[in-house]
Amino acid sequence: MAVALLACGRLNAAGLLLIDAGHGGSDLGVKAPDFQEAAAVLEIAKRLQSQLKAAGIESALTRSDASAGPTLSERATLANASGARAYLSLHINFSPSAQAKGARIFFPRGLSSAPAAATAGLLAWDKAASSRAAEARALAQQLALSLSAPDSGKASVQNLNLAPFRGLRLPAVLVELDFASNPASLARLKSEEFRKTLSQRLVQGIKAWAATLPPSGVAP
Amino acid sequence: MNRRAIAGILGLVLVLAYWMNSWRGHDPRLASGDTKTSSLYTGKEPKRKLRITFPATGKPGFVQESVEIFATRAESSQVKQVLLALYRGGKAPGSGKAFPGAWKTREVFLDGKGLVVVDLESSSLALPGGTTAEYMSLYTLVKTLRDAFPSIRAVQILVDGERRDSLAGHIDISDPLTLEDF
Repeated sequence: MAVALLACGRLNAAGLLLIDAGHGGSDLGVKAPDFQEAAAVLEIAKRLQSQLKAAGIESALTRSDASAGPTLSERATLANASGARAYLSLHINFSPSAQAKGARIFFPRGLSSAPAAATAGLLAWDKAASSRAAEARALAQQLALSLSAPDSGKASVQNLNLAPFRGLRLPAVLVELDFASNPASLARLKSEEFRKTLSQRLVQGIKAWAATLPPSGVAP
Repeated sequence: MNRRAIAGILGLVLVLAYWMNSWRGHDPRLASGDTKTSSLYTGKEPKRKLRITFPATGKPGFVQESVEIFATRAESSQVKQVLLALYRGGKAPGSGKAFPGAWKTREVFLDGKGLVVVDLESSSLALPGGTTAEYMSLYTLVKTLRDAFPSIRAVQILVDGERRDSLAGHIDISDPLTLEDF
């Protein structure tokens, strides 16, 4: 897949951000009546890319149609070759509690909590994202600020070793935009207006984070 | 009906009553579910009380509930009993269920050095998706086993006997999980 994208010139065009619409293909993610996570996050990802472009920020997508469902390993390979300065994976959440609402933002655990080999400079390939945890935290915190809103509550930030972070060598953040298990949140997530609002909030956070980056391309 | 027939019927009733009473000794919470409970305990072992962690339903976070299991000689049988109770969910008000559907454990192994391997049956995994749902399942499993069995330090999850990256695309389960991972 990465080879095919290289061939069509997309990998070098990732720009600032590689946007990953979670799940896809046969993996539909969270399912609810008239709602599928894979389709919802793809629509939000496309909208986000378009709004970022309008703001002068280049980005690329890990998948652009509903039938595509790259594996996590394929997504990591694509991200590492993309030249992007960060990886943003979009998801919809679910909880046993119907009251849970709002965004949850995750970034990898840092090296201090990684295996001992990492502290000796021998970092396993699948723990590479840990070495970029501080930069990922900066993006996560900006997104938490922009995604906190009266309608969905305060967004939380947590460092957690997630499978989508495995093998990533760039700062990576996974955003659970809201809970499909909360009836009010689900109704909002189904509406085009709220999806537009969510992508606008993401743009605000990304712009605030981008403003902190040095122009050299090396994150602080 | 003669006396002999009446005595026969009474005898049958007594045998049935004894058989039913002996089954009443088994915790019905543990008598349904995945692993064959008949192989987990005889019902003659002493009981031990322990606390199981469930997701809270009316507020953020978790709640704990007391459950009794049979203190079998094989610790793996105790772990299986605890897993059955965990899969079934809490009974107290405000106590939820982190394992939707009817999860099944294929096998449990303890290495004697602090690691327990829990091998799950893939066809029974009914996760709805989302990082939080996966977190709830795995955190309550690790927390409960850690609390109930002081010798257990880490939990390696397998699915159909094999390591997997995740259960449903979120929490990394490729390595053994400890409480510090959450």
